[in-house]
Amino acid sequence: MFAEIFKFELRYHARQPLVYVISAVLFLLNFGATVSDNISIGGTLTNININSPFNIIIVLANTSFFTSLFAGVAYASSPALRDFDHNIAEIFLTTRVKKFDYLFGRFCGALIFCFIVYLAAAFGIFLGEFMPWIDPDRLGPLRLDAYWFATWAIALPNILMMAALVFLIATLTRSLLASFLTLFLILVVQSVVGSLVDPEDIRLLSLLDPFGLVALSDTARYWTPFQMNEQIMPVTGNFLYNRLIVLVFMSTFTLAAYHYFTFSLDFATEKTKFKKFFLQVLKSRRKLSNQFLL
Amino acid sequence: MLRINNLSKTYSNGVKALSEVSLQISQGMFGLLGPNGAGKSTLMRTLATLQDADEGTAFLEDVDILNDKESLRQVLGYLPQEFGTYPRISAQRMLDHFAVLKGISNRSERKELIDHLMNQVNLWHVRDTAVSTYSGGMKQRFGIAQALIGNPQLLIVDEPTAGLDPEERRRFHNLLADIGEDTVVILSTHIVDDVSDLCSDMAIMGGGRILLKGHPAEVIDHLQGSIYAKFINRNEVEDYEERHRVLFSTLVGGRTKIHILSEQDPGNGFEAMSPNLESVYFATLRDHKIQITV
Repeated sequence: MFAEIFKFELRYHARQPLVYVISAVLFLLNFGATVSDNISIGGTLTNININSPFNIIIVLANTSFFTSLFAGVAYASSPALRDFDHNIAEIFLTTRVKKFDYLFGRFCGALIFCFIVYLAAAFGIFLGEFMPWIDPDRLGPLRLDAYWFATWAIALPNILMMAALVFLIATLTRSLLASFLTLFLILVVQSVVGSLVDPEDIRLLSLLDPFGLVALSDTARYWTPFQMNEQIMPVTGNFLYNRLIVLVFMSTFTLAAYHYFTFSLDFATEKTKFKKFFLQVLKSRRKLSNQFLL
Repeated sequence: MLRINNLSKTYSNGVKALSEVSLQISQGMFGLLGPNGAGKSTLMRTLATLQDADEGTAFLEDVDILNDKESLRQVLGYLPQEFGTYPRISAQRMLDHFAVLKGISNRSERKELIDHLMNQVNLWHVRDTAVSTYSGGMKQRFGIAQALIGNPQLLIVDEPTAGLDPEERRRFHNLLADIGEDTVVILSTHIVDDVSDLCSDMAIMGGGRILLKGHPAEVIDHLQGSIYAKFINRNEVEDYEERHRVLFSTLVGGRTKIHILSEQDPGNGFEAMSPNLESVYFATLRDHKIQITV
């Protein structure tokens, strides 16, 4: 039954416009960043080749941010919320479907679609490399190994973990908004921390950084432009530990989401303490911003 | 045979939705008639394994509905009072998915079943259209098709005709009338005609209790010779309500006609009427002092 649910999930998402819209936007963003110096995506350098492994890895790591924020939130919250939002849960709940097949068939479908969005975005960079107007002096050889590394070592774990987090938050709060805000907050914290890096604390920050960028840029901190055009970061030291931590968190989030999801009609209406907490946060934030405005 | 014994349910807000409900329902169409808020949907959802009761038991043959939900779901068809669907997914695809979840794993068997159902509910010509674009009547017919997957032994249809126009309702009645005699079908409704058109057995529910049960012909017979009707001016209604046991008033050609309950001929221009299910319904609600707001 798992396989059938997974297949239906793929077909369902393929029929919805969302994947095409987000893919197109991220594709254009990355394409633009590759073919024009006017668009730059956090941390890429202009004194090295446009398509140097370093730049490609940075852009793809950032792509995993955006994929998580847009595709991740939309898709990974879907297993927990969709049937209640569409008021169709009662029918599903009276069939023979088991919670495991129901939730994970859908979650796996959601992950595939997050990954499709990521691939579309990555294709934007790839295609950009072949545009005729790019200054040939700043174009190195095509480095598919850099794409490969950024995808399996950086983007894939990042997207998986963020999707698992969205899945958990959506399950706990029954709210799409809460999932979006949580991820958004993480991205803000990440970019603030990333810009304030103090070499003293590099180890701690490397481990805390959910996207692995701190460790990665620390590895390349003293690289010469020549190295940046040539080398790919090794998966060792802080970066390796960071990735392992990410995988642990991913599994924990997923298992917790499964644990907290109640496969019953109460799921939508139950006022859990998490939901109350989220509503409280929203309320106090509103109060705070009102005070600032006055 | 469905045996319900002393089923009670009080919601956390103090509303007593079910109060010692006991019913024995055999194969065939059973009508559960009651005003909105009578507890019908709570009973339906409890029998459909979606809610738990506080007390009591319910058995379908020897399946313990309250404690062995999985077994009941093997033989259950349920049409919820309201349900939504996914956007841009065709009726056929949706039915196919439900068939999978109801355990029909053979693809060609599924295809055959769905073709048959789509014909049966007269939606064959729109099988490739998304259910979200269907009219109210078409959607309800889709709902019954979904509920019929897998030859259920217990079919629960909750307020299926609410909001349908007369032609759609007639079609829906024909559809229900064709359902096999060897299935326990429970039809909950607040529309008297649904029961008088379709059901061989019935109960009237109000305030969470069963107020009356029996065969429609028999319960109507009890009121033989005690229903009288008269055309009056609209402003006299209150006057009559004080002096007579008024069951209900209707408009006939713009004039108000009241129906009253009386052991002897009240004279005063009243004429004797033969009772129908509507008289029984209103007489029962009146006996138990249950107000209905129409």
